[in-house]
Amino acid sequence: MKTERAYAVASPSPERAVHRVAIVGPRRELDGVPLAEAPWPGVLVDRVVDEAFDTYLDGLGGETLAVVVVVAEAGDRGPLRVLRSRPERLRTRAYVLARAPARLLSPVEDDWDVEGIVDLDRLTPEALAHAVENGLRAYRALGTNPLIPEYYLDATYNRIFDWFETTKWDWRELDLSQIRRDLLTEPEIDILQESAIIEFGTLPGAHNFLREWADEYSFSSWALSWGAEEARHSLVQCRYLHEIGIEVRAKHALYKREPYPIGENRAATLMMNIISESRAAEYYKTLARLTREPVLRTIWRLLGRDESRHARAFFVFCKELVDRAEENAVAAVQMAYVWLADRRRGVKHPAGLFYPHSSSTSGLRQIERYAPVMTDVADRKVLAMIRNLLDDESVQSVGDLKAYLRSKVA
Amino acid sequence: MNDVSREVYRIVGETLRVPPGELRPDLPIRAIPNAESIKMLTVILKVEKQFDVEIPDEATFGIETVGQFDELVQMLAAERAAANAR
Repeated sequence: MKTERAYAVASPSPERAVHRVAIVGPRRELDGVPLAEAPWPGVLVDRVVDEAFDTYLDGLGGETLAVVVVVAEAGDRGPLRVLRSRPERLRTRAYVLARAPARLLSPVEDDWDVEGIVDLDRLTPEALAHAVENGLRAYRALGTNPLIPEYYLDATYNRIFDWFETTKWDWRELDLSQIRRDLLTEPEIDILQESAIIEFGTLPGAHNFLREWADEYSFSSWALSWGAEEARHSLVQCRYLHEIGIEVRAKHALYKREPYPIGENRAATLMMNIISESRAAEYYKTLARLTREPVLRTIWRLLGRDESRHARAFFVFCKELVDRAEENAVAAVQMAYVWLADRRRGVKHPAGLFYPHSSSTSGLRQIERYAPVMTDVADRKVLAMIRNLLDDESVQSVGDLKAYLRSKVA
Repeated sequence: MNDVSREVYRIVGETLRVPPGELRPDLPIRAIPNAESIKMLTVILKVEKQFDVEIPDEATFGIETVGQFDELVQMLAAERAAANAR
């Protein structure tokens, strides 16, 4: 391989290199590129003659290549073409050193996903080091999440955004001055308070989503939208209670401020949320059917619709993970089994499970007692989603989930 | 300790990452730091596969101690052996 590993920049041996940087160009230009003593621990700089670049990439095998600096003749972008023809090198950040570049970044450069063009005639060691440093940082920022597409709008969040946005409810649909206090029952008021409090648990949920999905923007964008909608669920119920003379103490929101443990598998985390959203949807829909008070009926109906949409959105994100790897399917089904099969202490819900010092656990029990069959209805819908996830119509019960898991034990 | 028990304790210890000497029959499963629901499900599935038995859902989530779990598996394994012998 015609590779000259001329400079191991602050790296005692190639084996300890964390990132590689390749300077690629005509042989006569390579030695003149002033990148030698930059202070980047673990970064190895290779100088590669342009016609040997393809072979050089072959030789790297599975090693990462963080940055490529291409010394380009006028109009010649051959090494970039070579680089981008390899799907495994799409993350590699590219800079072009060119003489008197006409524009900072032409459409051609953009096609090759070039980070920047540096004027070769005015090149200083500092300018090149600065470009490479930015390239290393950009490379790290890209991460390794395989679900992030090349173009922003192709991300799952942007594909589900429209149906999500167009089904959002408006505060103008509610007129709290029309509340008929005389139609409310005391158990309903208790349940309304507990529902408002349980919904505070979605705030740490949003925190956790952003922590668990810290390497991407698609699900994270969804998590922000979801969190914003869930925050309205507490607010609207608290405002209703205020209208009838009941104030919800702020302590209930603070009791749930601690983050709960980050999950070990994202598909499993999503399954937990599919289940809790499906159950919440059914609770609200059932409560809306049972109440005689028209404003509360509208609120609970809207919240039930929200929770159904949320369950479906979590399903979309879960499905793309499950389709990608069987281990994600297994993790999702494990979570489903644990949450669906175990009702010894009533149904599980993150708001109750993770915050035993709040009243949410007893609040959930209260809601279940009020309408006991609604959890079964919700769980049947979850099983339907799992059949879709696994593309397996035979999954009809929690026993079938266990049978699936048993078949996957190594 | 018979062969079934040895296997049960081995699977529990390996899956929940408990040194063999620390697993006692009266040890509450919930007191084991790694014994959250998903890990316990993994234990159950491995044991089911190992002994070709099916542990009921209520036992999956209701077993209190390592000894109780061992006794249940021994009973199920004995039933399976008897059924296979017929």
